[in-house]
Amino acid sequence: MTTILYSVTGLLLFVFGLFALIVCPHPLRKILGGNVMSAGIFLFLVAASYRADTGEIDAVPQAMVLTGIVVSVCITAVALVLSTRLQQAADQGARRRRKRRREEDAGE
Amino acid sequence: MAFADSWIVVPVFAPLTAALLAFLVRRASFFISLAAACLSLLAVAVLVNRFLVNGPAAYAVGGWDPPLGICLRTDGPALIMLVLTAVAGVGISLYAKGYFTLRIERPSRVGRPERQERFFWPLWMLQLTGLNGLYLSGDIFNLYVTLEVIGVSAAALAALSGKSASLIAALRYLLVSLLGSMSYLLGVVFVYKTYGVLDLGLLQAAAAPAPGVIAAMALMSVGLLLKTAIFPMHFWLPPAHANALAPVSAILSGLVVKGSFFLLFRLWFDIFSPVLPAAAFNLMGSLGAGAIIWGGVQVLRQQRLKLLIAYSTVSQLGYLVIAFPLAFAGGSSQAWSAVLFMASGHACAKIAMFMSAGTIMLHAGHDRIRDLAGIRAYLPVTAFAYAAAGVNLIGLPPSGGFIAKWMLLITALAGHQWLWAVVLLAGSFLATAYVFRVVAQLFVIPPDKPVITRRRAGLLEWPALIMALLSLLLGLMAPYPLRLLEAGQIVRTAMTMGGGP
Amino acid sequence: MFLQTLQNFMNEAGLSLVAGVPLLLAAGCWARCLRKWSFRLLPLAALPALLAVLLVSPGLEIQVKWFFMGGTMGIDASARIFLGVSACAWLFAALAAGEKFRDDPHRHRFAGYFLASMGGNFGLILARDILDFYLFFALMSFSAYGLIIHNRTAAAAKAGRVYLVLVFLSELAMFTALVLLSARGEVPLAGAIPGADLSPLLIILLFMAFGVKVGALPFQSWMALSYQQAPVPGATALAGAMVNAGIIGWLRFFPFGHVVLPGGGVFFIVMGAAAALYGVFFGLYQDKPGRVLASSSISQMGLVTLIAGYGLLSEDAGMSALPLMTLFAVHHSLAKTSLFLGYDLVDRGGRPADAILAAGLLVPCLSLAGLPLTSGAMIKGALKELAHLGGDAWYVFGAVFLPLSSVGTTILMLHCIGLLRKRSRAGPRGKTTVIAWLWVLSIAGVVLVPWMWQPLREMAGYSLRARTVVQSLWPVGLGAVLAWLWLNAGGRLPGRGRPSADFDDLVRWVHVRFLYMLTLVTDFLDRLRDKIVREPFRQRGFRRFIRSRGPARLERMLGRWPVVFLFYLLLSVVLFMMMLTAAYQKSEVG
Repeated sequence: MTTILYSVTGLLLFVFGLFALIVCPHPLRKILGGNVMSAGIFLFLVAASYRADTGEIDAVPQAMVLTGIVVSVCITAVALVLSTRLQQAADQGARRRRKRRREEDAGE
Repeated sequence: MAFADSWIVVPVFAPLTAALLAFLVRRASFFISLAAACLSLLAVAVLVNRFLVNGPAAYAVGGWDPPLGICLRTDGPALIMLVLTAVAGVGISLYAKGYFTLRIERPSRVGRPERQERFFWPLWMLQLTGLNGLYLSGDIFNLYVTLEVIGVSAAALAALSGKSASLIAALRYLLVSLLGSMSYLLGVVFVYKTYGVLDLGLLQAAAAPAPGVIAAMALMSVGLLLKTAIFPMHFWLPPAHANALAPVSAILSGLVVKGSFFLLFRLWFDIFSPVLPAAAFNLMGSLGAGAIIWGGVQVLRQQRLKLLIAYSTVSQLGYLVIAFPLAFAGGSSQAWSAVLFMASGHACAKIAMFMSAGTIMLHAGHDRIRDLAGIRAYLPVTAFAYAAAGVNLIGLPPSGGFIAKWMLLITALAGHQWLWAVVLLAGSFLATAYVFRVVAQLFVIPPDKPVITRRRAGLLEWPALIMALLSLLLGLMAPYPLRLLEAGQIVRTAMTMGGGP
Repeated sequence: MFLQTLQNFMNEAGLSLVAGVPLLLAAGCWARCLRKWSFRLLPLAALPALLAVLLVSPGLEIQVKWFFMGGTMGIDASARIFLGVSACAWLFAALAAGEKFRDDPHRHRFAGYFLASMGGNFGLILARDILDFYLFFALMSFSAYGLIIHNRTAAAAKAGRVYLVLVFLSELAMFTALVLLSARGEVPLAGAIPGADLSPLLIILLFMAFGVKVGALPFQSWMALSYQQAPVPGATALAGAMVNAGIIGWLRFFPFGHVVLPGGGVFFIVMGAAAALYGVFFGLYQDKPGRVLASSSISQMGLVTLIAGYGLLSEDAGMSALPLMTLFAVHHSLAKTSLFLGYDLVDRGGRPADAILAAGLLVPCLSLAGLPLTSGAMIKGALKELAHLGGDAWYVFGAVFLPLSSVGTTILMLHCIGLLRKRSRAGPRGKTTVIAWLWVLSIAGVVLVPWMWQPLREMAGYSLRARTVVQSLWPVGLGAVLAWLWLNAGGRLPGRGRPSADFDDLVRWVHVRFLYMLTLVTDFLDRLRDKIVREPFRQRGFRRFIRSRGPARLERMLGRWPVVFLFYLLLSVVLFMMMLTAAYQKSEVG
């Protein structure tokens, strides 16, 4: 019963994350959406590691979850760096435009 | 014996070590990377040789057995892709050296090319690690990890140029690749829940229609299609490929998309083929047809050389997917050979094209097709390389593209699948149009005003030419890959019989 | 065992060298450091082919695994004959070229193209499978372009353009035919077409593919231009050797004697007869020796097309047409090589004595016209027999038509001799020992080969009977008289000399039409799209959707995340449902 609950919650999290990734325009929200997706999958995996027939815990999904978390952290880091850079570039562009406008105003 | 077995880890670990070293020892980063590329070429040659003698090899890294350990194995298709990657790896490394040298000599902004080069080498080596790992991996979870390695390093590479357009494209690329690999991972979980195994050989033996597997197949396929940029989901590819630095564009367009496609093809034809009905293959075929036509139309719209080449990748990827229904009718081994010829011919040609485009851009300062008239007079080798690569895209003999399209066309006609045949020919027609549009511009009689302000550099021109000639002459070397594939065919049946570890 | 291996190896090496030596030398012409040697070895490039004809055991077939998809090469009876005669023609042409271009600054360029065409020609004769044949054929055709434009004049460039366009056409037709054939799982070159169901489309495609090479009627325009514009040794190779490639193609693709294609046969006969007459008339209007020789080729190849047509009419006729086409190719090659060598001699200012020149040129000319005792007469006799097999109506056609073509050929050849003599008198003097000897040798070949060679000698007996002698003599006599009258009357035909068809105009016209059609189609599609897209959607939400029309907008739309998500979802659901239905169906059946 608990495993089903975990599985369903995991899948729901995946779908929520997917929704956020698709719909939210802001990069940070997209990245968080991706994180929620992976969290959902990991939950699903954890649920899969319980074997109902023998009552034992399968080690393989746990190894997968550990690896997956590492990968997910990496991707989040790269995405965050990229979005920061993007923000900086946008700021710079805006500053330059403002400056130019000011110069033009002064010129007039 | 143990030493001889461990050759198989070299294509993965040599670039990985090089990535770390190149990051630490900045001054020697080029030589470290080149050495790693050459070393993996050597290792792949050894692997091919051993494969032809002993058949397939499997090696548990560090003595840890699957499912917890990592198992690497070789078979025919994987070896062909490995050879392609290794050869292209050496070529791209050389070209990148020439590219950065020239840019550092005359920077548009001081310090920027140096920084780009500093990050390029480690990322490129990481990319090579991921690709080689993808081809060698023997279980579906490790494949996921290699997919992520490829995706992360590809996005970082795409962002290297630092312009805001390329940053936007790279972020989008990263998110798309995240979405793709997440759905792949969910598919992996479904598979594991159903069968309790991850090993490809065991899965192949066990595959039967069950709801879990069906859901897994749907998720994995769509995720991989997204990562391969097949037609309705190709939006991220052109900006990412066109805005990157030239060597990066060559890597992304030539090698990276082939990785996820290879995995997709392997899943459909080797592992889960019993689950799949004919209708699914036809669905894939129509996606491919859409890609060929739509991509071709888009290519014709472009005014910029690099964007044009990027869209032509979208179009050419369609050929890989249109092989699905044809291969379904024609049998697995022929499908493998057509697809591998297509993939390797296109990879070499596309790498050569992006290299040429990069050289032209460095020398002319822009890549507006309209203003490129007469480049041939200044960069004859580059212009020729572009034209030779174009021949492969059109599919004239003796290029690899010709062999592939020939096989596809014959299968289509033999199976009376006229629609696919028409699409194949229409694609060639479009390719002719867009290749000639540029080639004609490059080869016209030069106008009076000089276009070029910089001196020529051999490292920029010759790797492009060699890659282009490889793609052009691939048809003449056809028997060798075919032999590898035939050997692989026997092996796979043996693997099924034996049942694996 | 060892001997066996050795012999296999020798055979493989021997056959590979036939095409390999010219190709290697051609590659040598490209490399700066090897150029000198390659050019010096140019005359020897055809020797391996000659040696292979003499030494390799007949019926040999070997696998050449290292080549393009693992090719097969072999020599069968007809390949042997073709290889022999082509090798001779190439040898003569190469000797002449070596002499002529000794001090030319661009000699390596010429030699490169020359050798590449030679390699392609030998390769296609030996090729025993579909892809190799195609590849060598393409190699030969495209390299010959380099021969034609060698002089780099505007006229040569035009000739080259015409040639290239037609070659593209032929390649395209052949490619289509090959695809259609191999789609049916048939490998034509192994001689295993169950040919009864060659569709009309295939026949026309094959006619086009090889018709261009032999100058069959709608595709003849390149011949006159190229033969005149190419340097004479190059033209010798074109006329003496490369023309035969078209005949080989037909022989390989139509299994004569195993197939009856009445429709195709009539088509070939009509086209051949028309070409035979067209060549004569076209030639009489020309005043340059190269063009006249080319029109004679068009006319003679028309006869080959005619023979092929007869061969397709019935199985018996096919059996006798097969050797006849081969013999005709030999006969024509010998005569044309000799004529071109004579032309070469005149062209270089050999200025032989008028009588010698006339006598020397007369031999191949009359052989082409079919004078008794020459190979021409032997072949025309056999051709009449062949026409018998085609039934009464065809016999009449043959009986009326063949003398007519003989008369025409006689007039045309005498016209050619007249032109050459005029030119010989006018031109400057040059040093031409080698070419003169080659010419004499080739005349000897024209005279002697028919008698030294078994298959033609058999026909000779027939051609020497009194009735046949008369039959073959009177057209030649009549032609000679007519030609004499005509030349005395000033050698002019009515009309102001038909200008050579301006191919560029045609191309331009076709191009404009094509563009017009294209705009029509796109306009139509445009209207159609307006109809389809605009009408049904009048709602507000869709209005915005429609505004984004045109590929650019649509592409931008495909780039939006929600759209991607839509496709992502759609595809996964559709795939899932497909597999699920299939699984259920399977389980129900099970």
